[in-house]
Amino acid sequence: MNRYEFEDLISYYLEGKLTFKKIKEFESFLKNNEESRTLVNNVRNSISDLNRLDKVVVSTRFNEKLLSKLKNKKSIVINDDKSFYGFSSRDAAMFLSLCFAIIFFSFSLIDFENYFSPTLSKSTNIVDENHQDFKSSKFRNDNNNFASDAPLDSLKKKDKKYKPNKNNKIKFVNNRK
Amino acid sequence: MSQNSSTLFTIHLDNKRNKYNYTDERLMSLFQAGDENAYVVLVNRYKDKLINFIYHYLKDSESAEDVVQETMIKLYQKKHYYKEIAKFSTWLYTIAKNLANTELRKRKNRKTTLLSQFSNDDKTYEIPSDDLEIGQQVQTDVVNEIIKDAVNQLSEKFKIVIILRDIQEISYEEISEIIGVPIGTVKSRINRARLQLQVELKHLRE
Repeated sequence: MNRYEFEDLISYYLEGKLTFKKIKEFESFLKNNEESRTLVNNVRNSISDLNRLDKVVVSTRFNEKLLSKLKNKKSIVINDDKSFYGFSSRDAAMFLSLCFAIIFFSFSLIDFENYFSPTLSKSTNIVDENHQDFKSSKFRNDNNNFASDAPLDSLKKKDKKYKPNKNNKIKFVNNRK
Repeated sequence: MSQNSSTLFTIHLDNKRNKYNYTDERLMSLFQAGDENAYVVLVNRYKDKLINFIYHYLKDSESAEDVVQETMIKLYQKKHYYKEIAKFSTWLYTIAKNLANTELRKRKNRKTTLLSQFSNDDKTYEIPSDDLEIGQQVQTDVVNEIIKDAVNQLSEKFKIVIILRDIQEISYEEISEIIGVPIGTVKSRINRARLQLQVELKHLRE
């Protein structure tokens, strides 16, 4: 056992928390070392000094002062067993109002008019363009598979039923053979 | 509320009227159910223990009493926050410790100066006395002051464990819960605090 191990075990030894084997080892270290014995005695005496310290007590008017403080406390909530998911009613109200405030301010930051109307037309344009691209590519690249498979009558019928786009953005490419 | 408050304020906080021999946890559950007498019993049980702890921590009896009063007020106001998972004493000591730490922080910010520092009078006055008992009492008081000063010299983390273990005689497990560190750390700190303390106190026996 070295000096550091010995010092770490002093409190355990004095409180009787060492195993029998450790006690023997500790005591054999003490036997051979007077300085260590002095140290253990000093620690033992310090503990007993602390145990013997005069106990401090409250003043005679402690209870009286406590009662008057409780009377004066305006924020006493006697029936504070009402809680909303762990929050007191006051904290819950503050939290909710904070949430509403955040939602309100975030809505006020978003410009709905510009957000929705221009992009709505943009999105339809994108859809139309995509549709046009799809259709045109299909007609250009896949004419044999698409146009030729379908009976001519049905195509014509479809053409008759087809109502042209007012924007004239969709253009059908004629199948020229 | 008015009925409950009037019940509290007509009770005389007198030990002779206390008939409860219940455990702290049982008293607390009675108090939570609305029995104000249970609160009174708990106050009387813990007021001296708490002031002893806080006094050695703050080294000022007036502030210590204020902190204990605040602890009891918090106990009254926050009774429903206590759950029987933990020991009542652990919960109460934790509240007291937190309030004491707040008081210490306020003191550091306040930068208070002791009035004795303004005195230029360095004379010491010797009043002869033939009474042996008074002499012994004075000697005991002086020794106690030296011990308290030695404890106060320790760092905060060592001071609190020494006070809780060697003055309040609280178990290691409870100390671990009060200060929120593992039990091994508590044991190590207590050992190191005792080794430091014996250096300060060994001259008492020389």
